[in-house]
Amino acid sequence: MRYRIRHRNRYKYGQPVSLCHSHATLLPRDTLNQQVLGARLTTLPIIEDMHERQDLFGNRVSQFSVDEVHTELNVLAESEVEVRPNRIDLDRDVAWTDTSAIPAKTRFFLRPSLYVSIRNQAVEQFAEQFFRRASGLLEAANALNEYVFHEFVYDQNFSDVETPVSLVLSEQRGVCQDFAHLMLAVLRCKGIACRYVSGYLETDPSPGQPKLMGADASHAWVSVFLPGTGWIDFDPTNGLLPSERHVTLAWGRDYGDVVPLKGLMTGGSQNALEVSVDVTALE
Amino acid sequence: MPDNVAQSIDHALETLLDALDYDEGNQQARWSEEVERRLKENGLTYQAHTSKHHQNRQGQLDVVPYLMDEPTFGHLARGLSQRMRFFEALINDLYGERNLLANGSIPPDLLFSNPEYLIAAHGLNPQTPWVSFLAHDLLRDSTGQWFVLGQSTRAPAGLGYVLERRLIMSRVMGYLLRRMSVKRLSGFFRTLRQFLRADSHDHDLSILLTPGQSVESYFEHAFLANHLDFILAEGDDLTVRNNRLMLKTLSGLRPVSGVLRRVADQDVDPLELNGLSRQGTPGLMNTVRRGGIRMGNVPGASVIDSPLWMGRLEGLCQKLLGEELLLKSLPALWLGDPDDREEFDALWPDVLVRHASAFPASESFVVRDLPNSERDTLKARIQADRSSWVAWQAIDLELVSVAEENTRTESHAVLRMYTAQSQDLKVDVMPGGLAACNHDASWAQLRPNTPERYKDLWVMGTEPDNQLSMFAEMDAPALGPMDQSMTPSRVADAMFWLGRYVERADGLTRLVREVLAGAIDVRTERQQAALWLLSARFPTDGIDSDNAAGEIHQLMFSNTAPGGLTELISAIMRNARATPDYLSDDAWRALVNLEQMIDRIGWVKLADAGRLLDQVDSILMQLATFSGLNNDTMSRTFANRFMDIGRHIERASKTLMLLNHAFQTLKPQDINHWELVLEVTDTVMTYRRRYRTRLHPTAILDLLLLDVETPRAIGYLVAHLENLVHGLPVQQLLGRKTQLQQLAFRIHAHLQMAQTEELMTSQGSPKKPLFDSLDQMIDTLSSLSEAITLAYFSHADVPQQLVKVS
Repeated sequence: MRYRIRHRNRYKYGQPVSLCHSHATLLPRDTLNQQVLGARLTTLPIIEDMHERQDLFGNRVSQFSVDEVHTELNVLAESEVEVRPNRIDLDRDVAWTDTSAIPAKTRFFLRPSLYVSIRNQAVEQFAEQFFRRASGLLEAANALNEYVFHEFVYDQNFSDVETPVSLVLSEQRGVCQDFAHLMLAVLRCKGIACRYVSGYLETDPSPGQPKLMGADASHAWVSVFLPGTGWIDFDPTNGLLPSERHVTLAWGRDYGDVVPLKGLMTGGSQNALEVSVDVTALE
Repeated sequence: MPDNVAQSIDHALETLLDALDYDEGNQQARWSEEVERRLKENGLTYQAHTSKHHQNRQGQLDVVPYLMDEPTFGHLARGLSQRMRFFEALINDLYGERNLLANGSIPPDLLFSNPEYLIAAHGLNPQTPWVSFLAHDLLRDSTGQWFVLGQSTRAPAGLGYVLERRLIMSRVMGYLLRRMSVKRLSGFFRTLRQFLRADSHDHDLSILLTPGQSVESYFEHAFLANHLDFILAEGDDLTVRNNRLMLKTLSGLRPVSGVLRRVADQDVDPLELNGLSRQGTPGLMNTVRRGGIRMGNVPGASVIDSPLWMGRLEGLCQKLLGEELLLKSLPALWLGDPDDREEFDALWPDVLVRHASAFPASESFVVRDLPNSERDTLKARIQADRSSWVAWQAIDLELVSVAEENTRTESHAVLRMYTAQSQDLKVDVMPGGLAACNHDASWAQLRPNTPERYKDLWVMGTEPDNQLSMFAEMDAPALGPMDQSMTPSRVADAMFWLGRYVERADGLTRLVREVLAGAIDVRTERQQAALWLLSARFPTDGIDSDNAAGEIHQLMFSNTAPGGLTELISAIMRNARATPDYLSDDAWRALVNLEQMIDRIGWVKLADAGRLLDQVDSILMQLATFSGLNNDTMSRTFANRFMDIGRHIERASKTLMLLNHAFQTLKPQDINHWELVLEVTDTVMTYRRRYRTRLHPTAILDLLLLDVETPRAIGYLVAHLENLVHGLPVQQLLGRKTQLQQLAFRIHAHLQMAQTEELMTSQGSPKKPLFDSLDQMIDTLSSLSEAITLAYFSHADVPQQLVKVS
């Protein structure tokens, strides 16, 4: 499937800003089943000196600064990507207790991170029900994925970036980002390497296809490392295994590694942000 | 007598001990006293520099130095130089190719458990070495074998103290340093300075980046910056424009090309790193990435500071350099490794344990000394996150002598030694350093950063160094006079407010003094006048001459009194601490005394007006001392000019307000009141000499408003103010300069045009134009203050986070 993506960010300041340094993770990366055909980041006011590099995870990071007085900053990411179906063979499962075969660099995804602390009693208790019965890693991850989808409420007014995993767990509600963080915390406390994936879903699916939760903005899900096979994606918000309807933007340990757009401004006062995302299927 | 060349350590030791034991050891006691006195003197300055909750200056200085002969130093220097090369290669691999991780040479959990591992440093490819300065902690066991305990890239902590302590030692026992051919430290500091200045453009600046007065080591930062002739700057003093780091100065933005960094790695750039930290500058990481600056050390380098590496460096050195590590690390166990853990379990509880964090955050334990319950807790913590802990069996440390009055006792020492690396990777090892002493061997090796006392490390050359003079270590850098307009805006801002607050405190103290004096006067009319004076500034309901002392104590000295003296003094200290290198040592002492006096008065409930009056008098003296010192001993820098402007504006405004209050409320015959007006403005003598009459409102107005020779008269103040404003830097501020000058000119001109007859009736009553005039001048002064802020201090604007996107 081929998609065209337009991700618009618009900051409006209360007062003129004289300098703004920004850091964006808004350009999609290539993956095993995804090829980026073209992508660009543009801004208004226009910035000539856009600096792009790859971070530790291989994500595309853009850095730029607006060095003139402005009252509004527009950042537009446009891309075209080709996503092929993901063939996932759940029969290739391995015992979740077997963590010896995790490659050196992948072990980074076992450690606690800014938004995913792994030493939390409530999380450990919650994890038990999935790992007591299951022997397979994918089996347990899948059970967790479906449990979150069925039992947790998708609630856009409940949480923000700083909402801790423990609160998401006790209240059983949140958005895609919260569900992804919770799933990461559960898997990591069992010694399973897993990462946070940011990306998009198709905005208006073709007739007959249900519209998925999280389609109107950036989406987030989880990728689990299966020793011997590689990374397998899970989308706890929709209770499914992503295939060609998910477009991957970037990944990291948690949201903190892949914040789409952050910035520091000098001058100004209050600022407001409008975000809109359009993902259109081209074929 | 010819100087003996100290060839051997034994000979040197004999020379040293002979000197210390002279006069039955009383010489040692005398020197100890003097060392202590000098440290204390510096300590006063130190206290003043640092916020109150950091006032425990750690580490006394032992009068017995740690002696090292040249062969030993040579051996250690070769080992430390090799380590410098090794760490450079290690960090390069960790943040570059990552071969050591991929081929299994570094256990992944050892790297990923390291709290100093900075993923944003990946692909940074700095144009300079990762590590420009490094401190090593070394120890020698009882058999004479050397071990490295650890290393610190924190740029590197303690360097300023080394210098300070050597200065004290050479002042107290300079001849011994000469006699024993002790090597000088200045060469090392020159290397250090050169590194950050090398091939820089002439106009570029070098700065020492400090977190500011909130940290304990702020005094050391100021001391070091001063010695290296770097500008002491905080994150908010800097901005990144067009990929260049710029200092916000009075004359606009000036490029910076060298940064000696004392802000922690995680905190240097809120955009890419810790977004909650206010110590860094947004965009700074990108300037390093793009080669715009030389920074020592490069963010990410502190990954080698963690104790997790302790047992693992030997193998890595072989792999990276193909060489054997010349100086062994202390053989420690990393508990993430099953074999090490087995050994650890066998040693328990005779084992020392440290957490992965670098100093000073690192937790450490002498397990043997813990009660059982705490042992269990510790064991559970280790169990839960094994890869974050190291442990070792306490090493049997060598013993050193430390002075104890006129004899000596024994202690254990860990040496802190420093290395610097130039652009072309040449390594320089400082022939000196510190020895951290602790009588407990376990704590000596667990926490060498918080010793009981320090020793100065003396490395003895084979040639006497005749150049060594008492002040030789203070060699001034060979540089031209510094361009005053490079004063950071924040510093000028703080100086301006320092001036205003000192003047405000002075005025308030005078007022309090007169009120108190009046309150204890036997004449009722004097008592009434005193309360009238107080009412100019504070509500006086319920205050009479009987309870005046208690009420004033409450109004002025309670911690919560708004506008009281306690509040003013803390504002003075806050602003003074923001400008450490612009005030003289004596001025600092005056401020410290002031702060202590205020503390004392606040605690003692003084209901006795007479005693309170004495205290108020001493405060006034300290304020006068501070002002006098700044006028007499400091060069007239731009920063000082801002302080003067602040004082003039404050003094003029307050005098104008007092005149307003007096002419609104007093009648010509209120002689006692009018006299107080002269008293608080310190013009009684001038009035008597000049007018030789009884007090008359018209004469008072003539003196306080129009006179151009009396330093407290408005006429004098605004004339000076106009001059001061005229001399401010104007580069890049052309548009605003006119407005500033206009304001200063307007108020001066207004006054010159004024005629007493237009303002007062012949009977000595005020006319309406007087009040219009006073109001207008007060307004203009306040506009002037605002205009200065806008023109010179607006650079001090700080960046803030945009809202987060979810």
